[in-house]
Amino acid sequence: MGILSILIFFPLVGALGALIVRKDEAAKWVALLTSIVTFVISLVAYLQFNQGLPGYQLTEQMPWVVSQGLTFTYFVGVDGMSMMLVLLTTFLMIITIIGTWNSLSKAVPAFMALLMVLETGMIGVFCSLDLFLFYVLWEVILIPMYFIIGVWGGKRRIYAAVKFFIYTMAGSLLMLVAIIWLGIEAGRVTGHFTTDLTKLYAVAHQLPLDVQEYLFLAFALSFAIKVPIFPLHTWLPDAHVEAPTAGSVILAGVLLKMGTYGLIRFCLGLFPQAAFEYSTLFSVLGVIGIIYGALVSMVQTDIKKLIAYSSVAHMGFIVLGIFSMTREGLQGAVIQMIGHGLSTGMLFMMFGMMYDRRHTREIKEYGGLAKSVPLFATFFGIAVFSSVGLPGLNGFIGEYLTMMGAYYSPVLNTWSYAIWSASGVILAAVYLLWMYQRFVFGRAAGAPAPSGHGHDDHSAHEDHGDHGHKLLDLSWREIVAVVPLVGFMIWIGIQPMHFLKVSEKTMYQMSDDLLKMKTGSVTPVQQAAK
Amino acid sequence: MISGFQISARDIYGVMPLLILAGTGLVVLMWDAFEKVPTRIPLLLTVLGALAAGATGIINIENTGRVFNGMILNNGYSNFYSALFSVAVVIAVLLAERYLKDEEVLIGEYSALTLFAACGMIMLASGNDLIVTFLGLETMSIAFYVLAGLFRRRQESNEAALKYFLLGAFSTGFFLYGIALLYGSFGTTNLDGITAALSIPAKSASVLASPMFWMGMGMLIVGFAFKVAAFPFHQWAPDVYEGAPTVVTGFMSTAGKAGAFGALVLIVNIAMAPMTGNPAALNKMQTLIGVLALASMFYGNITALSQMNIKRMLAYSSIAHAGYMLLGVAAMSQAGATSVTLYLTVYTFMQMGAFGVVGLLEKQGGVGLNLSDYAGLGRRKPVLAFVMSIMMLSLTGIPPFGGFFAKYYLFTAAIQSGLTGYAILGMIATLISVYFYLRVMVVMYFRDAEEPALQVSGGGGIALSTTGNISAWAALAIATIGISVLGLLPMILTNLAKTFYLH
Repeated sequence: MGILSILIFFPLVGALGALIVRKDEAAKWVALLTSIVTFVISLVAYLQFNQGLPGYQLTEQMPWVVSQGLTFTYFVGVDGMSMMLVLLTTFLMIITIIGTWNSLSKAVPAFMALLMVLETGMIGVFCSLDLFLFYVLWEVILIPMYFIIGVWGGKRRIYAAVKFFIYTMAGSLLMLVAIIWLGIEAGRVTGHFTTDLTKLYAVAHQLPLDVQEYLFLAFALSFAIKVPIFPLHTWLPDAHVEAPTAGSVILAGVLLKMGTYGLIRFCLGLFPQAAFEYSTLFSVLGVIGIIYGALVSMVQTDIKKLIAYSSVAHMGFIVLGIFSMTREGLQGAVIQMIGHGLSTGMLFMMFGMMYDRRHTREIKEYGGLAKSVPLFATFFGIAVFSSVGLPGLNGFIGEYLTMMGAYYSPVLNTWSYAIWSASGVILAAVYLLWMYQRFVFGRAAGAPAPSGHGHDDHSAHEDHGDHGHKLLDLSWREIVAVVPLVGFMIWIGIQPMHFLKVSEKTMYQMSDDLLKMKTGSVTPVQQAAK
Repeated sequence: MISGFQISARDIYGVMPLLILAGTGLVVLMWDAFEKVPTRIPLLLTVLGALAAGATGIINIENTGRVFNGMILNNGYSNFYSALFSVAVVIAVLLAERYLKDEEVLIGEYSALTLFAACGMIMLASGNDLIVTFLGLETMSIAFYVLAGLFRRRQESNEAALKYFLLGAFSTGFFLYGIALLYGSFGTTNLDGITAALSIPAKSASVLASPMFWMGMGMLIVGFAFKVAAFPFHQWAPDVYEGAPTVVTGFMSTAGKAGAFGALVLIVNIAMAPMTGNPAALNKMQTLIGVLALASMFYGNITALSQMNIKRMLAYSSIAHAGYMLLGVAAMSQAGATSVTLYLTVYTFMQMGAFGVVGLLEKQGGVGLNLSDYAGLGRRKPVLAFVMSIMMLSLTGIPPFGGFFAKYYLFTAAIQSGLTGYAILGMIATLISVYFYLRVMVVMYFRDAEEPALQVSGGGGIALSTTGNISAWAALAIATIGISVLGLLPMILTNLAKTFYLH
């Protein structure tokens, strides 16, 4: 059993452990220790990983189902991109458990077990090199997330959980048809049915263009729902708002990345010709997502919803970067995936901390936090700035690279996407800073209303049971949870090369292959970038 | 032919599972008649007999050939089905012990009838002659008619039995008429004979061009569609499934379907395999069965959406599952046959598991069958709720449970035969089903009980008797382990499937 298999399946041990100990506190410790050990295992995998090589590494393959006609293998491996995402997953899981330590009141062992199952699924998705295995794990993830939202969520949790499940299922079933189709095509070419990704590249590239387009669309639909790309995003605000804090963090931090990961790995990797055909469509949708997400965020009164819509906008940059297919765009997409996981994850988690104290999500119920809880205000501010894309923090790197990629892209062939998406950066500053101002500065909630807002504030006055209590600032536990996040934000912001170089070889090769196919040679811009 | 008919030891050995089940059934029936105080002996006898039959089936799985003058198959296919039906009998009687005790029905006659029904199923799945198929169909159905009316004093049970009987008799007419017309086309009712006739190009072309063949085939399919409750021949199913005792419904909707599909696959996918050489006829046949499949999927799933009674919901969902399996039949290929067989195996486990949970939660007199009665079950009965969740996820076709693999094989077979459009529509139908299967979990875990209908209280309830608890748990354990193991290691079945088509 290789390192990746241990990494994938170790969290399941924790899941069993959490169920066996049954006590709430003990289950949390089991989950925490499991996630720390998993993180260490992923670091060991990272050390074994050779950044200088573009292909899949640490691969393990063994037959799973072998029968006449149908063969699936258990085939895992990582390249630069998946290595980054695996590290993000294992890291974020520790932070999530520490950060939401006291948020849960019921059935804690079951929750922890589900989180661990989720971790297995997420790591597995990023490591699968067999489409069938990928699909199985992709679907397995639905079950724990469904229960996390449905059992521990807010008031409209059932609606949100079912919507989340059905939306995702809708996409993935078509993907399943596409996987089977591809497997059968492989059978026609190589003599036996296979869903081995490394063998499918050659098969898929030879397919007639219209078949490639169907398959591309079937895969892309599934991933577009997960990302989510406008207009398939409507499940996201519901799921985010209703999910418990830990669920929101994992959902925003990792689950959405599965969609963009899939777009790069499968849609671009398997069907480049079709991807060229549809690059305009997806880039336009990406830009619409950036602007639409920002505009909708601006008018939200519910903080979680605001952060959720800001995710739609941020994921739009990633989509744009992916379909620019340039080195900068793809690298930007990877670093933006990591960056968004950190910053949006942190926003959700910190808001969760405040929610545990005040039990309301309405912005107007807050205010004056800078005075009463300065530490919270500071850290929350860093997360907000990172999300805005302030230079020096992680968000800037990803947005800058994706926009640069879109600007130079010979596939998109116009700089207008970059211009439009840049307006998204400005809008992000508007809605996030405005939210920060109302949330953190200003009057403390419940203070006498200025004239002219009497009616609006009336309802606020009726429901200020918490007002008057002294709000507690961040505890040591909470500081322990947020400091590493901030550390990485600054590290990525100042020294992005440390992170970019992990996926550099993989993404460069992919981009070069794609652009060679598109234009016949590497473009001058690419040469310059070297 | 008749003059030379002799029964050899090989013939007897070839139908061993059938004989064991029939013999056990007779012994159980007699024991029951002479028993003064109810004991567990009939149950034990049934389980042992069924296990012996199942073991014989597995031991003989590499057999090849025909017995009884080419009338009955004795190969991997028939022996696999024998084992499957035997396992279904084991689950059915184990689940029934407590349920029947609560309802004050003796287990003996139930066990005997179950065994006889299984005999009919084995005949169906090993019938190499349409006459044997017919005999099997009738043996199975008659046992089912009686089983549906097992609760003599309950009106719904009587209604179910009568409805099933009347409509079943009607469908038998179709079936027989179909056989007669096929005999007219081929000059034989033997499946090997049909294969041979279709393999001769000239003969095949004339038969496939004749309306008589298509009339016969159509009627045969109508007969089968009735037995597997495929739309639009499903009308009896919801009422019968709801009215019949829950354990009987579980057995009827799984093993009963398996029997009918066992025969249908044998006729369409295997005996008529040479039809693939005639694209026009193949297309006609695929369309005929494929449309039936799609109609069943959509009708079953859409109607199940609005059901509030859990037995009815499972009944309508079983119509949809018949549709999925028909898609495997429509593939008209060996891969299709294998996939239907795998699906039936998994389906037997998951559907019986689901009905088992329903039966355990049901109160005397059919109370506690509404979805709302399951509210908060996740907290009150965590293990049962967990088992039910696995069954629901598997029925939906979510990995890593068996239902997913079975569906995967089915759709793969369909796409391999060029039925991609049907497969995509089938996926959409699956998506519809997600909602009502999830709803069971929503109710169990996400809602709290407003009215603790299922809590242990007076008036007879789940705690009425404790005998049979162990057997019910054993049955649920078999089903749950079956689903999980087949989900993670489907090659257990796919390896067995290699033996299916050895002649």
